[in-house]
Amino acid sequence: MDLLNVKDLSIQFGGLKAVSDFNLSLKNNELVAIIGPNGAGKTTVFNMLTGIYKPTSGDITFDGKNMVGLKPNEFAKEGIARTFQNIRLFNNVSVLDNIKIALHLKVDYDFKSALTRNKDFLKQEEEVEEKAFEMLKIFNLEKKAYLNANNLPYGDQRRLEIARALTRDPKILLLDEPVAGMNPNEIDGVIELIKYIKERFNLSILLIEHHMNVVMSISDKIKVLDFGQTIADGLPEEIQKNERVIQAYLGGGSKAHA
Amino acid sequence: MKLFKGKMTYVFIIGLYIILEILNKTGIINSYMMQIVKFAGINIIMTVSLNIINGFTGQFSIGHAGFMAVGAYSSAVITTVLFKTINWPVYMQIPMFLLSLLVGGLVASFIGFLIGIPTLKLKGDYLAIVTLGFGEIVRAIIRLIQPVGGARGLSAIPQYTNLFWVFVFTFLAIYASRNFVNSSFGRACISIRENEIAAETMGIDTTKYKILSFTFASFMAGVAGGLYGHLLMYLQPDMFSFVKSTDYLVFLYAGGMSSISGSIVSALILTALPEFLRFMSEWRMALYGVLLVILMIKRPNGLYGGKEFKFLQIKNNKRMLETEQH
Repeated sequence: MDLLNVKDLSIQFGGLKAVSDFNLSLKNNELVAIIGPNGAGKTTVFNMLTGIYKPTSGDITFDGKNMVGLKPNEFAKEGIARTFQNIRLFNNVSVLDNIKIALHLKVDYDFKSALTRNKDFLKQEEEVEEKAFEMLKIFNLEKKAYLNANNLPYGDQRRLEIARALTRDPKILLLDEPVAGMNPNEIDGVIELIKYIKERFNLSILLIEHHMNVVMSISDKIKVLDFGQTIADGLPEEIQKNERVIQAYLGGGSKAHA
Repeated sequence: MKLFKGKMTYVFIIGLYIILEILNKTGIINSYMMQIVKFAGINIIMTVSLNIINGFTGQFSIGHAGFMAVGAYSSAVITTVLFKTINWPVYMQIPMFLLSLLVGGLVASFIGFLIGIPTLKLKGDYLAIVTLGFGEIVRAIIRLIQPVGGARGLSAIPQYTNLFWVFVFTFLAIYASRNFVNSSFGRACISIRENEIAAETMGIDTTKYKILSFTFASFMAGVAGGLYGHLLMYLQPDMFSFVKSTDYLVFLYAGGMSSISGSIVSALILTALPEFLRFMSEWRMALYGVLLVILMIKRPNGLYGGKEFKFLQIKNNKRMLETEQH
Protein backbone atom coordinates (compact mmCIF):
# COMPACT_ATOMS: atom_id res chain seq x y z
CA MET A 1 0.00 0.00 0.00
CA ASP A 2 1.14 3.50 -0.67
CA LEU A 3 2.28 5.54 2.27
CA LEU A 4 0.99 8.71 0.66
CA ASN A 5 -1.47 8.79 -2.18
CA VAL A 6 -2.30 12.03 -3.92
CA LYS A 7 -4.93 12.10 -6.62
CA ASP A 8 -5.74 14.92 -9.03
CA LEU A 9 -4.75 17.54 -6.52
CA SER A 10 -5.50 21.04 -7.73
CA ILE A 11 -5.63 24.47 -6.25
CA GLN A 12 -7.00 27.65 -7.66
CA PHE A 13 -6.39 31.16 -6.38
CA GLY A 14 -9.14 33.24 -7.95
CA GLY A 15 -8.61 32.84 -11.67
CA LEU A 16 -5.14 31.34 -11.38
CA LYS A 17 -4.87 27.57 -11.32
CA ALA A 18 -1.60 27.24 -9.48
CA VAL A 19 -1.51 23.44 -9.49
CA SER A 20 -3.51 21.15 -11.79
CA ASP A 21 -4.13 17.48 -11.24
CA PHE A 22 -1.02 16.60 -9.31
CA ASN A 23 -0.71 12.88 -8.73
CA LEU A 24 1.68 10.99 -6.49
CA SER A 25 1.97 7.57 -5.00
CA LEU A 26 4.76 7.53 -2.48
CA LYS A 27 5.91 4.21 -1.05
CA ASN A 28 7.92 3.34 2.00
CA ASN A 29 11.54 4.43 1.94
CA GLU A 30 11.16 6.07 -1.45
CA LEU A 31 12.59 9.42 -2.51
CA VAL A 32 10.61 11.35 -5.07
CA ALA A 33 11.91 14.66 -6.38
CA ILE A 34 9.69 17.42 -7.69
CA ILE A 35 11.49 19.74 -10.06
CA GLY A 36 10.48 22.55 -12.36
CA PRO A 37 11.11 26.21 -13.09
CA ASN A 38 10.49 28.83 -10.43
CA GLY A 39 6.81 29.48 -9.98
CA ALA A 40 5.82 26.06 -11.28
CA GLY A 41 3.82 25.33 -8.14
CA LYS A 42 6.23 23.00 -6.31
CA THR A 43 6.10 24.74 -2.93
CA THR A 44 2.34 25.10 -3.38
CA VAL A 45 2.14 21.33 -3.60
CA PHE A 46 4.13 21.07 -0.39
CA ASN A 47 1.84 23.58 1.28
CA MET A 48 -1.15 21.46 0.33
CA LEU A 49 0.56 18.32 1.59
CA THR A 50 1.12 19.94 4.99
CA GLY A 51 -2.28 21.55 5.40
CA ILE A 52 -1.12 25.11 4.97
CA TYR A 53 -3.24 25.46 1.87
CA LYS A 54 -6.51 23.68 1.28
CA PRO A 55 -6.75 22.24 -2.24
CA THR A 56 -9.72 23.21 -4.40
CA SER A 57 -10.08 19.63 -5.54
CA GLY A 58 -8.38 16.28 -5.29
CA ASP A 59 -7.54 13.79 -2.56
CA ILE A 60 -4.71 13.30 -0.17
CA THR A 61 -4.61 9.95 1.55
CA PHE A 62 -1.89 9.31 4.08
CA ASP A 63 -1.63 5.81 5.52
CA GLY A 64 -5.20 5.23 4.46
CA LYS A 65 -6.49 8.37 6.12
CA ASN A 66 -8.09 11.22 4.22
CA MET A 67 -6.19 14.41 4.97
CA VAL A 68 -7.90 17.14 2.98
CA GLY A 69 -9.27 19.89 5.19
CA LEU A 70 -7.16 19.12 8.23
CA LYS A 71 -5.15 21.87 9.92
CA PRO A 72 -1.36 21.98 9.68
CA ASN A 73 -0.84 20.73 13.19
CA GLU A 74 -3.04 17.75 12.43
CA PHE A 75 -0.97 16.92 9.35
CA ALA A 76 2.06 17.15 11.59
CA LYS A 77 0.56 14.78 14.14
CA GLU A 78 -0.02 12.16 11.44
CA GLY A 79 3.68 12.08 10.64
CA ILE A 80 4.44 14.56 7.90
CA ALA A 81 7.35 16.91 8.55
CA ARG A 82 8.87 19.58 6.34
CA THR A 83 11.57 22.14 5.90
CA PHE A 84 10.97 25.47 4.24
CA GLN A 85 12.39 27.16 1.18
CA ASN A 86 13.34 30.26 3.15
CA ILE A 87 14.34 28.64 6.43
CA ARG A 88 11.76 28.99 9.17
CA LEU A 89 13.77 28.43 12.27
CA PHE A 90 12.79 29.82 15.65
CA ASN A 91 15.43 32.49 15.36
CA ASN A 92 15.73 34.03 18.79
CA VAL A 93 15.60 30.67 20.45
CA SER A 94 18.55 28.39 21.11
CA VAL A 95 19.46 25.53 18.81
CA LEU A 96 18.56 23.14 21.61
CA ASP A 97 15.16 24.72 22.15
CA ASN A 98 14.40 24.56 18.43
CA ILE A 99 14.70 20.79 18.76
CA LYS A 100 12.83 20.71 22.07
CA ILE A 101 9.91 22.51 20.46
CA ALA A 102 9.78 19.77 17.86
CA LEU A 103 9.39 17.30 20.73
CA HIS A 104 6.27 19.14 21.87
CA LEU A 105 3.92 16.28 21.06
CA LYS A 106 6.08 13.84 22.97
CA VAL A 107 5.37 15.31 26.42
CA ASP A 108 2.11 14.90 28.23
CA TYR A 109 2.49 16.53 31.61
CA ASP A 110 -0.31 18.89 32.49
CA PHE A 111 -0.29 22.60 33.24
CA LYS A 112 -0.22 22.13 36.99
CA SER A 113 2.79 19.85 36.73
CA ALA A 114 4.62 22.42 34.67
CA LEU A 115 3.91 25.26 37.08
CA THR A 116 5.05 23.26 40.09
CA ARG A 117 7.89 21.38 38.36
CA ASN A 118 6.91 18.10 39.95
CA LYS A 119 8.61 14.72 39.54
CA ASP A 120 6.72 13.76 36.41
CA PHE A 121 7.52 17.08 34.81
CA LEU A 122 11.21 16.90 35.65
CA LYS A 123 11.49 13.34 34.38
CA GLN A 124 9.85 14.16 31.07
CA GLU A 125 11.93 17.32 30.65
CA GLU A 126 15.06 15.28 31.25
CA GLU A 127 13.98 12.83 28.54
CA VAL A 128 13.29 15.71 26.18
CA GLU A 129 16.74 17.09 26.84
CA GLU A 130 18.36 13.70 26.19
CA LYS A 131 16.50 13.14 22.94
CA ALA A 132 17.26 16.66 21.79
CA PHE A 133 20.97 16.24 22.38
CA GLU A 134 20.95 12.86 20.62
CA MET A 135 19.46 14.51 17.57
CA LEU A 136 21.94 17.35 17.68
CA LYS A 137 24.81 14.86 17.84
CA ILE A 138 23.64 13.15 14.67
CA PHE A 139 23.76 16.45 12.88
CA ASN A 140 26.99 17.59 14.50
CA LEU A 141 25.34 20.53 16.18
CA GLU A 142 25.66 19.57 19.85
CA LYS A 143 28.54 21.94 20.46
CA LYS A 144 26.32 24.82 19.38
CA ALA A 145 23.32 23.79 21.45
CA TYR A 146 23.02 27.02 23.38
CA LEU A 147 23.65 29.44 20.55
CA ASN A 148 20.66 31.28 19.16
CA ALA A 149 19.50 29.77 15.90
CA ASN A 150 20.01 32.99 13.97
CA ASN A 151 23.66 33.10 15.01
CA LEU A 152 24.45 29.90 13.16
CA PRO A 153 26.19 29.97 9.82
CA TYR A 154 23.85 29.36 6.89
CA GLY A 155 24.80 25.72 6.31
CA ASP A 156 24.22 24.91 9.98
CA GLN A 157 20.84 26.62 9.89
CA ARG A 158 19.71 24.41 7.03
CA ARG A 159 20.98 21.33 8.87
CA LEU A 160 19.20 22.44 12.03
CA GLU A 161 15.97 22.77 10.12
CA ILE A 162 16.32 19.23 8.81
CA ALA A 163 17.25 18.00 12.30
CA ARG A 164 14.20 19.71 13.73
CA ALA A 165 11.91 18.15 11.13
CA LEU A 166 13.37 14.70 11.84
CA THR A 167 12.97 15.07 15.59
CA ARG A 168 9.28 14.65 15.00
CA ASP A 169 9.85 11.00 13.99
CA PRO A 170 7.97 11.55 10.77
CA LYS A 171 7.08 8.94 8.24
CA ILE A 172 7.43 11.42 5.40
CA LEU A 173 9.89 14.26 5.18
CA LEU A 174 9.32 17.11 2.77
CA LEU A 175 12.54 18.97 1.92
CA ASP A 176 12.06 22.29 0.14
CA GLU A 177 15.30 23.30 -1.62
CA PRO A 178 17.61 22.06 1.14
CA VAL A 179 20.80 23.06 -0.65
CA ALA A 180 19.79 26.52 -1.85
CA GLY A 181 22.66 28.93 -1.45
CA MET A 182 25.30 26.35 -0.57
CA ASN A 183 28.71 25.82 -2.10
CA PRO A 184 29.62 22.48 -3.75
CA ASN A 185 31.31 21.13 -0.60
CA GLU A 186 28.30 21.80 1.55
CA ILE A 187 26.04 20.34 -1.13
CA ASP A 188 28.00 17.07 -1.09
CA GLY A 189 27.58 17.01 2.66
CA VAL A 190 23.83 17.40 2.38
CA ILE A 191 23.60 14.68 -0.28
CA GLU A 192 25.33 12.28 2.10
CA LEU A 193 23.15 13.49 4.96
CA ILE A 194 19.94 12.84 3.05
CA LYS A 195 21.09 9.36 2.04
CA TYR A 196 22.03 8.67 5.66
CA ILE A 197 18.80 9.82 7.23
CA LYS A 198 16.71 8.04 4.62
CA GLU A 199 18.30 4.76 5.68
CA ARG A 200 18.66 5.37 9.37
CA PHE A 201 15.16 6.69 9.93
CA ASN A 202 13.49 4.59 7.23
CA LEU A 203 11.98 7.69 5.70
CA SER A 204 10.07 8.48 2.59
CA ILE A 205 11.23 11.78 1.23
CA LEU A 206 9.75 14.34 -1.10
CA LEU A 207 12.38 16.71 -2.41
CA ILE A 208 12.10 20.04 -4.21
CA GLU A 209 15.43 21.03 -5.64
CA HIS A 210 17.01 22.99 -8.47
CA HIS A 211 20.47 21.45 -8.20
CA MET A 212 20.30 18.62 -10.70
CA ASN A 213 23.29 16.69 -9.40
CA VAL A 214 21.51 16.38 -6.05
CA VAL A 215 18.26 15.35 -7.69
CA MET A 216 19.82 12.84 -10.06
CA SER A 217 22.03 11.22 -7.45
CA ILE A 218 19.45 10.45 -4.79
CA SER A 219 16.00 10.29 -6.39
CA ASP A 220 14.11 7.10 -7.02
CA LYS A 221 11.56 8.95 -9.13
CA ILE A 222 11.20 12.46 -10.48
CA LYS A 223 8.15 14.56 -11.28
CA VAL A 224 8.47 17.70 -13.36
CA LEU A 225 6.09 20.62 -12.92
CA ASP A 226 5.63 23.57 -15.22
CA PHE A 227 2.90 26.17 -14.74
CA GLY A 228 1.22 23.90 -12.22
CA GLN A 229 0.99 20.91 -14.53
CA THR A 230 2.94 17.70 -14.39
CA ILE A 231 4.80 17.52 -17.70
CA ALA A 232 6.92 14.47 -16.96
CA ASP A 233 7.08 11.69 -14.44
CA GLY A 234 9.56 8.84 -14.25
CA LEU A 235 13.04 7.57 -13.47
CA PRO A 236 15.98 9.97 -13.38
CA GLU A 237 17.48 8.59 -16.60
CA GLU A 238 14.19 9.05 -18.44
CA ILE A 239 13.73 12.60 -17.23
CA GLN A 240 17.23 13.56 -18.30
CA LYS A 241 16.38 12.61 -21.85
CA ASN A 242 12.81 13.96 -21.90
CA GLU A 243 12.52 16.65 -24.58
CA ARG A 244 9.70 18.58 -22.94
CA VAL A 245 11.56 18.77 -19.67
CA ILE A 246 14.71 19.89 -21.35
CA GLN A 247 12.85 22.63 -23.17
CA ALA A 248 10.85 23.83 -20.19
CA TYR A 249 13.50 23.64 -17.57
CA LEU A 250 16.95 22.50 -18.33
CA GLY A 251 17.19 25.23 -20.93
CA GLY A 252 18.05 23.59 -24.24
CA GLY A 253 20.63 20.83 -24.91
CA SER A 254 20.86 17.80 -22.68
CA LYS A 255 23.43 19.11 -20.24
CA ALA A 256 22.29 18.91 -16.63
CA HIS A 257 22.29 22.33 -15.00
CA ALA A 258 24.21 22.09 -11.72
CA MET B 1 9.36 20.71 44.44
CA LYS B 2 12.41 22.82 43.90
CA LEU B 3 11.90 26.52 43.95
CA PHE B 4 14.67 28.80 42.83
CA LYS B 5 18.11 27.38 42.40
CA GLY B 6 20.22 28.11 45.41
CA LYS B 7 19.26 28.98 48.92
CA MET B 8 20.50 32.52 48.43
CA THR B 9 17.35 33.50 46.60
CA TYR B 10 15.12 32.49 49.50
CA VAL B 11 17.39 34.25 51.94
CA PHE B 12 17.30 37.35 49.79
CA ILE B 13 13.52 37.43 49.46
CA ILE B 14 12.77 36.69 53.10
CA GLY B 15 15.51 39.01 54.21
CA LEU B 16 14.19 41.80 52.06
CA TYR B 17 10.74 41.36 53.50
CA ILE B 18 12.01 41.43 57.06
CA ILE B 19 14.16 44.48 56.42
CA LEU B 20 11.24 46.35 54.91
CA GLU B 21 8.97 45.49 57.83
CA ILE B 22 11.57 46.65 60.30
CA LEU B 23 12.19 49.87 58.43
CA ASN B 24 8.47 50.49 58.39
CA LYS B 25 7.93 49.75 62.06
CA THR B 26 10.81 51.99 63.10
CA GLY B 27 9.44 54.78 60.96
CA ILE B 28 12.46 55.06 58.67
CA ILE B 29 10.18 54.21 55.79
CA ASN B 30 6.83 55.89 56.26
CA SER B 31 3.54 54.37 55.28
CA TYR B 32 3.41 56.39 52.07
CA MET B 33 6.66 54.85 50.90
CA MET B 34 5.44 51.43 51.97
CA GLN B 35 2.44 51.92 49.76
CA ILE B 36 4.79 52.60 46.86
CA VAL B 37 6.52 49.31 47.59
CA LYS B 38 3.17 47.50 47.55
CA PHE B 39 2.19 49.21 44.29
CA ALA B 40 5.53 48.14 42.86
CA GLY B 41 4.74 44.52 43.71
CA ILE B 42 1.32 44.74 42.10
CA ASN B 43 2.88 46.37 39.04
CA ILE B 44 5.42 43.59 38.84
CA ILE B 45 2.61 41.03 38.69
CA MET B 46 0.84 43.04 36.00
CA THR B 47 3.96 43.53 33.91
CA VAL B 48 5.11 39.94 34.18
CA SER B 49 1.65 38.72 33.16
CA LEU B 50 1.54 41.10 30.21
CA ASN B 51 4.94 39.78 29.23
CA ILE B 52 3.47 36.30 28.87
CA ILE B 53 1.09 37.55 26.17
CA ASN B 54 3.11 40.23 24.43
CA GLY B 55 6.66 39.16 25.11
CA PHE B 56 6.64 35.38 25.08
CA THR B 57 3.70 34.64 22.81
CA GLY B 58 4.33 37.66 20.61
CA GLN B 59 0.73 38.86 20.62
CA PHE B 60 -0.26 42.48 20.76
CA SER B 61 -2.58 42.96 23.73
CA ILE B 62 -2.98 46.57 24.82
CA GLY B 63 -6.01 46.44 27.13
CA HIS B 64 -4.43 44.59 30.03
CA ALA B 65 -5.89 46.97 32.62
CA GLY B 66 -9.30 45.58 31.65
CA PHE B 67 -8.41 42.24 33.22
CA MET B 68 -7.11 44.06 36.26
CA ALA B 69 -10.44 45.89 36.54
CA VAL B 70 -12.43 42.68 36.28
CA GLY B 71 -10.29 41.08 38.98
CA ALA B 72 -10.39 44.14 41.22
CA TYR B 73 -14.15 44.48 41.08
CA SER B 74 -14.85 40.76 41.35
CA SER B 75 -12.74 40.41 44.45
CA ALA B 76 -14.19 43.57 45.99
CA VAL B 77 -17.67 42.21 45.39
CA ILE B 78 -16.79 39.20 47.54
CA THR B 79 -15.38 41.16 50.47
CA THR B 80 -17.54 44.25 50.37
CA VAL B 81 -20.72 43.88 48.40
CA LEU B 82 -21.78 40.27 48.90
CA PHE B 83 -20.34 39.90 52.38
CA LYS B 84 -19.56 42.85 54.61
CA THR B 85 -16.39 41.15 55.75
CA ILE B 86 -15.16 44.28 57.43
CA ASN B 87 -17.52 43.36 60.22
CA TRP B 88 -16.23 39.84 60.48
CA PRO B 89 -13.71 38.49 62.99
CA VAL B 90 -10.12 38.81 61.82
CA TYR B 91 -9.43 35.08 61.45
CA MET B 92 -12.31 34.89 58.95
CA GLN B 93 -11.24 37.97 57.02
CA ILE B 94 -7.99 36.58 55.73
CA PRO B 95 -9.46 33.43 54.15
CA MET B 96 -12.20 35.57 52.60
CA PHE B 97 -9.58 37.89 51.23
CA LEU B 98 -7.67 35.02 49.69
CA LEU B 99 -10.89 33.58 48.34
CA SER B 100 -11.75 36.93 46.84
CA LEU B 101 -8.36 37.06 45.13
CA LEU B 102 -8.95 33.62 43.70
CA VAL B 103 -12.38 34.69 42.47
CA GLY B 104 -10.86 37.83 40.97
CA GLY B 105 -8.29 35.75 39.14
CA LEU B 106 -10.81 33.20 37.93
CA VAL B 107 -13.31 35.74 36.65
CA ALA B 108 -10.55 37.68 34.90
CA SER B 109 -9.17 34.51 33.33
CA PHE B 110 -12.64 33.48 32.21
CA ILE B 111 -13.04 36.85 30.51
CA GLY B 112 -9.58 36.40 29.05
CA PHE B 113 -10.65 33.05 27.67
CA LEU B 114 -13.84 34.50 26.18
CA ILE B 115 -11.92 37.34 24.60
CA GLY B 116 -9.34 34.89 23.36
CA ILE B 117 -11.57 32.71 21.28
CA PRO B 118 -12.86 35.06 18.61
CA THR B 119 -9.94 37.43 18.59
CA LEU B 120 -7.00 35.13 18.29
CA LYS B 121 -7.56 34.50 14.65
CA LEU B 122 -6.60 38.15 14.35
CA LYS B 123 -3.07 39.32 14.12
CA GLY B 124 -0.99 42.35 14.97
CA ASP B 125 -2.82 45.63 14.73
CA TYR B 126 -6.27 44.06 14.48
CA LEU B 127 -5.75 42.12 17.70
CA ALA B 128 -4.43 45.27 19.34
CA ILE B 129 -7.54 47.25 18.46
CA VAL B 130 -9.83 44.55 19.77
CA THR B 131 -7.94 44.31 23.06
CA LEU B 132 -7.99 48.07 23.34
CA GLY B 133 -11.73 48.01 22.73
CA PHE B 134 -12.16 45.30 25.33
CA GLY B 135 -10.43 47.42 27.96
CA GLU B 136 -12.75 50.29 27.26
CA ILE B 137 -15.84 48.08 27.17
CA VAL B 138 -15.03 46.70 30.60
CA ARG B 139 -14.74 50.23 31.91
CA ALA B 140 -18.02 51.27 30.28
CA ILE B 141 -19.87 48.26 31.61
CA ILE B 142 -18.63 48.71 35.17
CA ARG B 143 -19.89 52.29 35.07
CA LEU B 144 -23.36 50.93 34.49
CA ILE B 145 -23.38 48.40 37.32
CA GLN B 146 -24.97 50.30 40.20
CA PRO B 147 -24.46 47.62 42.90
CA VAL B 148 -20.70 48.17 42.61
CA GLY B 149 -21.06 51.90 42.61
CA GLY B 150 -21.09 52.55 38.88
CA ALA B 151 -19.43 55.80 37.99
CA ARG B 152 -19.27 56.92 41.61
CA GLY B 153 -16.98 54.04 42.39
CA LEU B 154 -16.87 51.42 45.11
CA SER B 155 -15.56 52.55 48.45
CA ALA B 156 -14.99 51.18 51.93
CA ILE B 157 -13.08 48.19 50.64
CA PRO B 158 -11.17 46.74 53.59
CA GLN B 159 -7.42 47.16 53.35
CA TYR B 160 -6.44 43.51 53.42
CA THR B 161 -3.45 43.97 51.17
CA ASN B 162 -0.33 44.26 53.27
CA LEU B 163 3.35 43.85 52.51
CA PHE B 164 3.26 40.17 53.29
CA TRP B 165 0.56 39.33 50.76
CA VAL B 166 2.19 41.52 48.14
CA PHE B 167 5.42 39.61 48.61
CA VAL B 168 3.66 36.25 48.48
CA PHE B 169 1.71 36.94 45.31
CA THR B 170 4.52 38.73 43.55
CA PHE B 171 6.78 35.78 44.28
CA LEU B 172 4.11 33.33 43.07
CA ALA B 173 3.56 35.27 39.87
CA ILE B 174 7.28 35.35 39.09
CA TYR B 175 7.71 31.70 39.98
CA ALA B 176 4.69 30.55 37.95
CA SER B 177 5.76 32.62 34.96
CA ARG B 178 9.30 31.35 35.02
CA ASN B 179 8.08 27.76 35.20
CA PHE B 180 5.55 28.35 32.46
CA VAL B 181 8.23 29.69 30.16
CA ASN B 182 10.59 26.79 30.84
CA SER B 183 8.07 24.12 29.98
CA SER B 184 6.58 22.79 26.78
CA PHE B 185 3.70 25.25 27.26
CA GLY B 186 6.06 28.20 27.29
CA ARG B 187 8.12 26.82 24.44
CA ALA B 188 4.99 26.40 22.35
CA CYS B 189 4.05 30.04 23.00
CA ILE B 190 7.56 31.18 22.10
CA SER B 191 7.43 29.19 18.88
CA ILE B 192 4.23 31.00 17.99
CA ARG B 193 6.01 34.30 18.46
CA GLU B 194 8.99 33.24 16.42
CA ASN B 195 7.30 31.56 13.48
CA GLU B 196 3.67 30.61 13.63
CA ILE B 197 3.64 28.54 10.46
CA ALA B 198 6.66 26.51 11.52
CA ALA B 199 5.05 26.03 14.93
CA GLU B 200 1.94 24.60 13.29
CA THR B 201 4.02 22.13 11.32
CA MET B 202 5.50 20.94 14.61
CA GLY B 203 2.04 19.84 15.65
CA ILE B 204 1.43 22.82 17.93
CA ASP B 205 -2.19 23.98 18.02
CA THR B 206 -1.40 27.68 17.89
CA THR B 207 -4.92 28.82 18.66
CA LYS B 208 -5.02 26.73 21.82
CA TYR B 209 -1.75 28.17 23.07
CA LYS B 210 -2.64 31.75 22.29
CA ILE B 211 -5.81 31.28 24.31
CA LEU B 212 -3.82 29.58 27.07
CA SER B 213 -1.38 32.46 27.35
CA PHE B 214 -4.26 34.96 27.47
CA THR B 215 -6.06 32.95 30.14
CA PHE B 216 -2.96 32.45 32.29
CA ALA B 217 -1.91 36.08 32.03
CA SER B 218 -5.37 37.44 32.73
CA PHE B 219 -5.64 35.23 35.83
CA MET B 220 -2.53 36.89 37.24
CA ALA B 221 -3.81 40.32 36.24
CA GLY B 222 -7.07 39.56 38.03
CA VAL B 223 -5.25 38.66 41.24
CA ALA B 224 -3.17 41.84 40.90
CA GLY B 225 -6.43 43.74 40.53
CA GLY B 226 -7.78 42.16 43.70
CA LEU B 227 -4.64 43.19 45.58
CA TYR B 228 -4.95 46.68 44.11
CA GLY B 229 -8.54 47.18 45.22
CA HIS B 230 -7.80 45.99 48.73
CA LEU B 231 -4.87 48.38 48.95
CA LEU B 232 -6.50 51.55 47.68
CA MET B 233 -9.75 50.74 49.48
CA TYR B 234 -11.58 52.44 46.63
CA LEU B 235 -12.24 51.47 43.04
CA GLN B 236 -13.51 53.57 40.20
CA PRO B 237 -13.87 52.44 36.57
CA ASP B 238 -11.75 55.27 35.16
CA MET B 239 -8.77 53.99 37.10
CA PHE B 240 -8.55 51.19 34.55
CA SER B 241 -8.61 53.16 31.34
CA PHE B 242 -6.29 52.81 28.41
CA VAL B 243 -3.86 55.06 30.28
CA LYS B 244 -3.40 52.35 32.88
CA SER B 245 -2.88 49.77 30.17
CA THR B 246 -0.23 51.98 28.61
CA ASP B 247 1.57 52.16 31.94
CA TYR B 248 2.06 48.42 31.81
CA LEU B 249 3.07 48.50 28.17
CA VAL B 250 5.70 51.08 29.05
CA PHE B 251 6.98 48.94 31.92
CA LEU B 252 7.08 45.96 29.61
CA TYR B 253 8.98 47.65 26.80
CA ALA B 254 11.38 49.37 29.19
CA GLY B 255 12.20 46.13 30.90
CA GLY B 256 12.56 44.12 27.76
CA MET B 257 10.14 41.81 26.03
CA SER B 258 10.30 38.21 27.11
CA SER B 259 12.55 38.95 30.03
CA ILE B 260 10.87 38.30 33.35
CA SER B 261 13.79 39.93 35.14
CA GLY B 262 13.38 42.99 32.98
CA SER B 263 9.72 43.25 33.89
CA ILE B 264 10.57 43.04 37.58
CA VAL B 265 13.26 45.69 37.41
CA SER B 266 11.35 48.10 35.23
CA ALA B 267 8.16 47.78 37.26
CA LEU B 268 10.16 48.53 40.40
CA ILE B 269 12.09 51.45 38.97
CA LEU B 270 9.24 53.01 37.03
CA THR B 271 6.82 52.76 39.95
CA ALA B 272 9.31 54.45 42.23
CA LEU B 273 10.62 56.97 39.74
CA PRO B 274 7.69 59.40 39.73
CA GLU B 275 7.98 59.55 43.52
CA PHE B 276 11.66 60.37 43.39
CA LEU B 277 10.95 63.04 40.87
CA ARG B 278 8.32 64.71 43.04
CA PHE B 279 10.73 67.48 43.90
CA MET B 280 10.47 68.61 40.33
CA SER B 281 6.71 69.19 40.70
CA GLU B 282 5.23 70.08 37.33
CA TRP B 283 8.34 68.92 35.43
CA ARG B 284 8.03 65.46 36.97
CA MET B 285 6.15 63.73 34.19
CA ALA B 286 8.16 65.53 31.52
CA LEU B 287 11.38 64.23 32.98
CA TYR B 288 9.84 60.78 33.34
CA GLY B 289 9.12 60.84 29.63
CA VAL B 290 12.60 62.07 28.78
CA LEU B 291 14.19 59.31 30.85
CA LEU B 292 12.08 56.72 29.04
CA VAL B 293 13.13 58.08 25.65
CA ILE B 294 16.80 57.98 26.67
CA LEU B 295 16.32 54.42 27.87
CA MET B 296 14.83 53.30 24.58
CA ILE B 297 17.58 54.98 22.60
CA LYS B 298 20.36 53.47 24.67
CA ARG B 299 18.77 50.07 25.12
CA PRO B 300 16.28 49.49 22.30
CA ASN B 301 15.60 45.99 23.53
CA GLY B 302 14.75 47.24 26.99
CA LEU B 303 16.86 46.95 30.10
CA TYR B 304 17.11 43.21 29.90
CA GLY B 305 15.85 42.33 26.44
CA GLY B 306 15.72 38.57 26.19
CA LYS B 307 17.98 37.90 29.14
CA GLU B 308 17.28 36.81 32.69
CA PHE B 309 18.81 37.11 36.13
CA LYS B 310 20.81 34.16 37.32
CA PHE B 311 18.19 33.00 39.79
CA LEU B 312 15.50 32.92 37.11
CA GLN B 313 17.46 30.83 34.67
CA ILE B 314 17.08 27.11 34.47
CA LYS B 315 20.29 25.89 32.94
CA ASN B 316 22.17 22.69 32.67
CA ASN B 317 25.53 24.08 33.68
CA LYS B 318 27.55 20.96 33.04
CA ARG B 319 26.28 20.70 29.49
CA MET B 320 26.85 24.36 28.84
CA LEU B 321 30.52 24.09 29.67
CA GLU B 322 30.93 21.72 26.77
CA THR B 323 29.38 24.06 24.24
CA GLU B 324 30.22 27.24 22.40
CA GLN B 325 29.00 30.49 23.87
CA HIS B 326 27.99 33.20 21.43
